Amino acid sequence: MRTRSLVLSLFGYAALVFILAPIVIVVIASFSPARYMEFPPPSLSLRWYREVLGSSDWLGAFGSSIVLAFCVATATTAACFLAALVTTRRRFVGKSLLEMLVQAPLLLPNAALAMALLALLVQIKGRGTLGGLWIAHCILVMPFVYRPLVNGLRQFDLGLEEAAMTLGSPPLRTFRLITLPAIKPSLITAFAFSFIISFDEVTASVFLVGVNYTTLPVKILSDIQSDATPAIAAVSTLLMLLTMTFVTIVSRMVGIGRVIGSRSGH
Amino acid sequence: MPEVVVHAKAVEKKYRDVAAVRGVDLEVFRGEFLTLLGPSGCGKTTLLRMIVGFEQPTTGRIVIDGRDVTEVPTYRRPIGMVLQNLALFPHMNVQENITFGLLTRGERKSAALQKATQMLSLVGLAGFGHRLIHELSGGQKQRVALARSIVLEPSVLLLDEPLGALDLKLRQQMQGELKRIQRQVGITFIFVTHDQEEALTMSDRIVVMNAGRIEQIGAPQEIYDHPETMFVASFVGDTNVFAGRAIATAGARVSVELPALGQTVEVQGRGITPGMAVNVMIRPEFVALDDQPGAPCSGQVTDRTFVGADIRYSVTVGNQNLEARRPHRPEDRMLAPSATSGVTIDWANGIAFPSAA
Repeated sequence: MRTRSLVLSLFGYAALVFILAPIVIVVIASFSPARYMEFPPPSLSLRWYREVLGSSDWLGAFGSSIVLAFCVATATTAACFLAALVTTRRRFVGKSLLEMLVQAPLLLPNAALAMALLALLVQIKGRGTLGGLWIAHCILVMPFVYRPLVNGLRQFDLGLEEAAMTLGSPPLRTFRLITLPAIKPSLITAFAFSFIISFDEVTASVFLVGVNYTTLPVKILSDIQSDATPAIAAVSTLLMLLTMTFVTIVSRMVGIGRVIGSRSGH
Repeated sequence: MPEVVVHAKAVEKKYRDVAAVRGVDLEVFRGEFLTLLGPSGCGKTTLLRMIVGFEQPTTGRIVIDGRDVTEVPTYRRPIGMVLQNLALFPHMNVQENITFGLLTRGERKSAALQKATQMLSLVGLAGFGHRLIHELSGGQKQRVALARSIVLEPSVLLLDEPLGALDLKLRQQMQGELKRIQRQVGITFIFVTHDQEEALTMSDRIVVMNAGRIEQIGAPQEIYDHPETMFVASFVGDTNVFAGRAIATAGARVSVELPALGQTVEVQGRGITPGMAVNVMIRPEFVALDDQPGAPCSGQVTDRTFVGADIRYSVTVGNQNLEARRPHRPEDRMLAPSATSGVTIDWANGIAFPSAA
């Protein structure tokens, strides 16, 4: 019995190491002064951090990604919230068609979707622009945002709105003071997810970026292919730091269980 | 003539082709405790929701305080409501729940807080203002829901089976509390329940509903002693029913032949003509079991239930099953199951109704 539990916990720790090791290696490698990525680094230096933070290429890509992710998150959260509101509360003709359309991108391989979007964006001259990527990302992100919002709204007790109305509260006030506080966690979760997914997206973006407009993940990808400098490790480390801060803030606001839970469709 | 607070005029509600409420006319008087009683699906909750304004009548009007509110949205009607699941706002504490309506109305915060404090002591929750909703027991939640509505002094307060979720003891306690609070604040209550005992103990008047219609309106005792339809007789209180045929009528009395007992008895009955097929109802307390000789018929005890103050017997007379009830006294001898006993029925308290067929 004791040996079994010992083996089991050893296995558990081994799995943890296995998951964390590449991350640790990237972080350590980012402090290398060498021209090429190597592990362990010959000595420690902040050279590549200086390089990255002083490069308008990297900062530009980072800025584009942030702006894009923010626009995508705002638009999809708003649109999916309205859609979820209608589908959870009203019966209407074409309801299941609407639900299917919103979730259809899940069924298509991202690369196939990107090809289709490329054809579209070339038509409307949107390739390599913020607007073009915004359209593409909104479509890709929508299914991930729609589900948690529907779940959040389904759990909401409509009796609370009725009660507020019997207490003399008109619909807008009821929405602001009763409905919104109750579904705020779902909204924050939806926003955070669409932000992260858009910020991370590379498969479709590769097809759609242009000479003058690229996103951070796409730039990382192309840099790895051309010259793998420790700059990439430095960028990755910075991104991890950023993501961790972001997730910490969100989980403080709504609880981490909820963030993870809603992604797996609970 | 008492003042009418709520007047439902020829109200009908249809969902597609199914009528949930059919041609209901109802006047509710200022300050009374009125109960809508009926089985689930009888339309009582639909009627309530139309008075509140959650549902629109298909035809007919709703008048509150002399004003036609049929087209007026819920939040502009002078009503309050305690919902079945109470629907307390989970993200607010007790005090915030109670002041919500006052602040919505534009009252000053200090005035609202003062009223909330008064309300809390009225419902017996003084000092609970800062509690969170999930920290309250079932009974305490009831009180908060009540306080939240009463503080707005509505013309009428509607309660949709609010005691349904409580256990028996707490339920009885809350029934008394509700009644006390209602008398104290003098607000008109319309209470919906399917529990006839609850209706009998709490109401000034009861409206018995069935299949979307009102069967009878009356004081609890009137409903119990003088049911106007077979449905009311069997839904309110326990009842024995005999099938028979009317032989002769004289004013409000009818002679009925009962094949099951081989007897002809004289009971109450209106609107019955000789020859009509009727059902005769008699309450278990009018069926006496005794060993005295000279009882008009005899029966066999099939079951006995001791409920403390009463003993309930099931007796078979001929091929008819009968429920009898008698007050329990320690010195009385209880009848054993399968014992044979004389059966005496006080037919003067029987009522004949034309049978539905």
